Order: sequence, then C-alpha cells, then structure tokens
Amino acid sequence: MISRRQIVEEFRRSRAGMAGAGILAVLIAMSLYAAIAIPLESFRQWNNPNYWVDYPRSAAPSWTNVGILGPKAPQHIILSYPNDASVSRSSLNGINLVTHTYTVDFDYDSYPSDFMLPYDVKYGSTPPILQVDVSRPDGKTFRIYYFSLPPSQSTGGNEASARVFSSDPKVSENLRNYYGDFKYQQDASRPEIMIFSDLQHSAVLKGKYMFKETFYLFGNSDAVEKSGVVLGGKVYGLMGTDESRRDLAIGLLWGAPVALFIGLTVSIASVLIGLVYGVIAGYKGKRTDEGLMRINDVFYSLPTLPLLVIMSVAIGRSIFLITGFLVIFGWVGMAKISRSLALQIKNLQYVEAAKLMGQSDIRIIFKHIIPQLLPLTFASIAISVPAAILGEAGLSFVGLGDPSIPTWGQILHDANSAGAAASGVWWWVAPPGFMIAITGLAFVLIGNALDSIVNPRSKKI
Amino acid sequence: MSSLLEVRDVKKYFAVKRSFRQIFRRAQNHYVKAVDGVSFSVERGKVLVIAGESGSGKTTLARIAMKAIEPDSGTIIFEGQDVTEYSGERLKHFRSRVQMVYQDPYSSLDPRMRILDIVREPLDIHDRASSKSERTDKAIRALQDVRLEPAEIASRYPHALSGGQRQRVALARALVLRPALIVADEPVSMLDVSVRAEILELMRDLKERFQISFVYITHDLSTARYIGDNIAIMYSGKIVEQGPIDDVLLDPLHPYTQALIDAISEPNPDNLHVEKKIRIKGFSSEGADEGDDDIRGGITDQITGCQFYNRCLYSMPACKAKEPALLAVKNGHSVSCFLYTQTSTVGSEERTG
Repeated sequence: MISRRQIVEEFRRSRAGMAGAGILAVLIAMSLYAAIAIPLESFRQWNNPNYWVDYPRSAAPSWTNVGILGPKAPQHIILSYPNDASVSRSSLNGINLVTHTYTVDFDYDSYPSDFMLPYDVKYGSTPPILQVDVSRPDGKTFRIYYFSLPPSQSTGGNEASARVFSSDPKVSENLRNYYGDFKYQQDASRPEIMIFSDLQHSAVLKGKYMFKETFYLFGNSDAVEKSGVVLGGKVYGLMGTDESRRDLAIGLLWGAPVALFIGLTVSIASVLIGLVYGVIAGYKGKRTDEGLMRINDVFYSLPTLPLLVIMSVAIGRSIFLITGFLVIFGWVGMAKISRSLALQIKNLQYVEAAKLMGQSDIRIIFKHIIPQLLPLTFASIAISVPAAILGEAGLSFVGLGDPSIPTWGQILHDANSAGAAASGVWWWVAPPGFMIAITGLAFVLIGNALDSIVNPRSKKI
Repeated sequence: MSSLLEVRDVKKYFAVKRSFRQIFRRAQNHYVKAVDGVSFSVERGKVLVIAGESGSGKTTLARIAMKAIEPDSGTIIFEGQDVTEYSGERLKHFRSRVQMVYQDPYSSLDPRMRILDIVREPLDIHDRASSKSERTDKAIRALQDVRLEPAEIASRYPHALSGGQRQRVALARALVLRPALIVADEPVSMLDVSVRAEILELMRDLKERFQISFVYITHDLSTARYIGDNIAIMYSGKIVEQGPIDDVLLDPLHPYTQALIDAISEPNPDNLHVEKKIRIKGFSSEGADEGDDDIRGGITDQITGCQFYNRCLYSMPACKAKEPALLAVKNGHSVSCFLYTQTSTVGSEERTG
C-alpha cells in the first residue's frame, strides 16, 4: 500500500504530471484574476449588446498589429472620464466651463473607421452646450462641434446622455469651414478622415491629437458625469473582439473558472457517487450486488449525448442543471472499478476482523475499504475532468448550453453560428478551442501521472 | 460447570463449481465437506487446541464458531445461549464476547490505521459508555498487557512494526474488550521461531490473568502441548481423536494422530541424521482406488467409510465399509477408529511394536 507522502514525491518526479500541474496553476491564476480584477458586470452582461457598444466589431488582437507584415492598422482606442481625461474648470459670466481633454497618440497607417464622443451631463433647467475642439500635431485646431445637448429620452428632462457620432451632420457642417486649409479636395462627410489627414497631401497625419470637450453648464448644480473619446479601429485588446463587439479576452478569462467549476464538480461528484455505489455493491455482494450492478448496466448502455440533448431541452439549460446531467452519466465507470476492487479488499483479513469485531457494514465500508481506494479516487477524478469539460463544451456548441454565461463552448457556438471560421475571424475560433484542449491536457497529464503511481502495472516502460 | 462454548454436530459443505460440460451432462453436484458433523466444547478459562493438517477444516470450524460463516446444520451454544441464529443487537453482543486472532499479522491489521486506533476500534464499537479518552486509556492498557511500549508504537502504522509486534497488537485488539473467548487461528505459524515462544507464553499468561478461554488452532503439535488443556485432532472435516492434551499426545490412539506426532521436528541435534519413520501413506500409494484425483483435490464426498482409509497403515475391510464413530475409550479421551471398537488390542500392539 502506498502512502500519501510517497504519492506526492513520485508525482514531483513525473515530468508530465508537473507539466499538467503547471497548466492547472495557470488556469487557476486566470480564474483568480478574472474573479478579482475584472468587473463581474462583464460576466453578467455578456449577452447584452448595449454593454459592449464602445468596443469595435470583429477587431483582431492588437498583437497582430506589429507593422512588419503590412501597414499598421489603427488600434481601437477607448478613452473615458475620469481615468484618461485631464480636467480644467473656469467661469465666464456666471457660466461654468468644464473642459475634459483627451490625448491620442495616433501613429497608424490608416484612418480610424469612425469615432464617438459619449457624454452624460446632469442639469437643472437649461441644457448645457458641448464644444469639441481637436488640436492636431501640426498646430491646427478644428472646432468640430458646438451645440446645445438634447435632453436624454430615456431618463427624462434633467439629463443629457448620448453620443456624438462621426456621422453627425453637425460635425461635417463645422468641418466645412476648414476646407481652405487643405491643399487638395477634402470631404467633410467623412470627418474621421478629414480630422486625421495631412494638409499637404492625402495621407494620415501621425502624431499627438488632443480632443478638448468643453461643457458650458448654466446651473450651479450641473455636473458632467461621463465623457470620452472612442476611435474606431481594426485591432483591439489581447484577444480581439467578436461580431457582437464583445471583448474575447474577457470571455476567455471568464471561461476558465466556469470550465474548472464544471470539470471539477462533475468529476468529483460522479467519482464519489460511483465509488460509494460500487463499494456497497462489491462489499454487500449477492442480491444487492446483482441489483445495483444491473441498474449500473442500464446507465452504462444509455446513449449519453442524445439524452443530454433531450434533457437540456426538456428540463432546463442552467449551468447547475447541466452539471447534474453530466453527473448522471459520469458515475458509471467508477462504480464498476470500485466494485471489483471492493471484491478484493473485502476478503482481506482486517476487513473480516472488523466484521467479527461487530463493526457495522457501513463503517467497514467507510473506515476500512474506501480509505484504501482514495489514491485511485484522486487519479480517477483527474482523469474524468476533461470528459466533463468536453461534455459541457459539446452541449454548448450545439446550442444547448447555458446561454447566460460565457463558456468556451458558448463562444465557439457563437463563432460557429456567425460563420467566423469562413470569414477569417480566427481569433474567435482558435483561442477557445485551444483553451478547452489545454485544460483537458492538464488534467489528463495529472491523471495519468497519478494513475501510474497508484497502479504501477500500468506504468510505461 | 457448564462449558463456555459448545458446538454440536455442525456441518459445512462447499459446492464444487461444475464445468459447463458437467452441467450439460447433468453431472452430480460435488461437495467439499469442510466440516462434517463436528462437536466440541470449550471450558471456561481453558485452552482447546484444534490440530490437523492443512485442509482438514480447522479454520472453517473456527469461522463457524465465530459466526463468520453460517453452518449448514448444527448448533452453537455460547454461555448457555443458542447463538446459531443470532442477528442484530444480540449478534453484536456475541461479537463483543468472542474475539479472533489471525494467522497473518501482516494482513489482519488495517495498513491505514494507527496502532492506537486499531486497538481502540473494538471499544469504539462496543464500549459506548466510556468517553474517548477513557477508551484510549483502555487501549493503552491493553497494549501494556501484551508487553508493548504504548508510548513508542501507539502512533505508528502497522508497516513500521515487526511480525511479532504486530501479532501482539492483534492480541491487544482481541483482549481490549475482555472477551470470554479468543479464537486464535495459527497465531504463531507465520512468526519467526524465536518470537513464537514469546507469543505463546504471553497467551498462557493472559489466560491465567484474565480467565480467558482460547481456541488455539494449529498444525504444529509441539506448540499445542505448551498452551493447551484439551485437544481435538481433525482429519478431513471430522474430529478423529479428542481428549485432555497430555492423554492424547502421550498416548495417541488414532493412526493419524500417531502420524502427526511422528512429524514433530526433532529437537535433539544428535538425532538430526536419524531417519524418522512417519506412519502414514502418501496419496499415490497402492490401495488407492479410482477417483484418486478427486480425493487429492479434496473432493471426498464419494468416499464411504473411514476418510483416512487410503492413508492408514492399519486399514481393514471394515474401515471401507462403514464409518467409525467417535467413541470414548478412556476418561474424556475418545477416538473414531475401528481398532479400538472391534478388536481393541490389535491397534495398541502394533502401535507399540
């Protein structure tokens, strides 16, 4: 019989096992990072399009934009108050002026696709006026907006909360005043091009741009709640975005704790159920054994995937229900293994000794038989995690997973239904697939390492 | 005085698995008669030795007496109560009064439990009245009773102990409930010769101190006389000779007993090279009938008459025709052999000759 310390020592010596443990550590770190550093709102609002409006549509990961392989595509830039704004206040004839200045270092080879200036101002009676000036690297300043803000429709009369879009006709109207500065024909209906163009020839003017947003507030209690600059780009973030503008880095990060939760819950629950079930069958023997194992056979012969599909359609699709469904089919194999081992162990003399001592059957099972099977149990748990994760991913992929939660399978499902693979949005398809594979690999490596320690006969030569 | 344990006419047959061909041909079911109509009794504070060769049914008999397996027929009477059909709480009480010590101290202790927990386990089951610390104290005292140093070994695991120490732990575990009877199944046969005497001496001491009765099962008559008060010799599921140990060993009547005594190793080194004559025939000797393979395989239900017929040096036609009954020859000394019922002088003359 192998002791716990021996198992740990042998495991440390196994290179594959340590590699698996390393991957698992990374996954756990990802989960912790997601839980601590990323706002939980991004998890809850994963399927709410309004939450993601500031993000670009189908933007590639920004690390693909090194500029060696071709022109440097513009980065998607999101700047917002108060983090990125420098604020100044002044007063003019009893009117409060609040100025938020955003600096953009623009050194890309093509123009932004569009821009937005979100704002949110609370006011008493008179709507505030917003004035937007853009200072260009060549010293020119374009006033692109000067207008009274319309009251917000959703929140009533006392709040102006909306966005100025680059397609706003008021913007192009203002820009027409600067046609004379350009040595060539400009088009004010495309402000995102005109603002970022060189005066001499038709090209991008690289350098520092300053967006100065000045709010004229007419009441003393008026306040600017929100402001910002969003420059539409072609690349964004670590992992890019999908067609619904969702940041895939956040989705992938949230996928880690969800996958670990499903994998570990399903495998621990099904292995423990199988263990106790099999040991009871093996130890009790005779009719109990026969009855329990025939029930086991019934479960063993059920086709798993079709029934999972039927159950998630008929009963429900929440993540906890799916966990339960996977357990229903997961315990069967362990029950067979633990039964055959219980048959051996129950004939050992110390088990008979305990019986002749008057020990009850249930205590013999939990005190004398199951402790002998614990190392095997841990190995089995590790080995059965990938099946659970794949089971959930498969269900999600066919569209029967929990739709309210970002799981890797769910992301793959969305990518598939948007035809991402065909349209070349590889960053939507490959990373979640890779994460599923690497998580499975981690547990397979750990499980095999444990298994070869627990069952030395299965060791490779 | 009534006896502590009385076993009356117990039988246990094990069916031999039939091959498909045998089932197809509707061949007769064969049985191994592991225990075939055995009766014995154990007095309070006495040691009964059950001796016999491997496969003679001694361990099965002990397991029946312990109620580890159910006999096919017969009754077991313990402390005046018929315990044969006991179950539930009454069986649990019986279990607290009778304890077992196994042959192999390496497999009779749970390798994942500490020594103290092993010894305390019977108390945890039966002694619910005491607190945990009281039970621990009792377990420590039991370890001292078997001359182990509790401070040294109580928190160790069995694999850290020697065979002799483990067998003492097994004894302590049997002893801790102060049972009326301990059944010891070849408790010293797997130990070094040097440790055997210590364990036997310890058992004798425990018997004296706590008035515990023992059933001591062995194939080794040399240890039997050291500890035993009475002895029963088993052959092929039956008791062939029974009586006070000195009577039986010093004046063996049954030919099988005589052969067993012949087989005791010679303690005197001067006699090391003297060839000893053991009065028994091998299985393959002349006179063995067809069906010999079955007999060698332990399947003896086809044999009529005396089970020892094929190996006995004194076999007569009568032995094959009928089975001899276990009859008293002297005071308390009984034997099942026709030598002593038909012509009682023949056997003893040949035996001494």
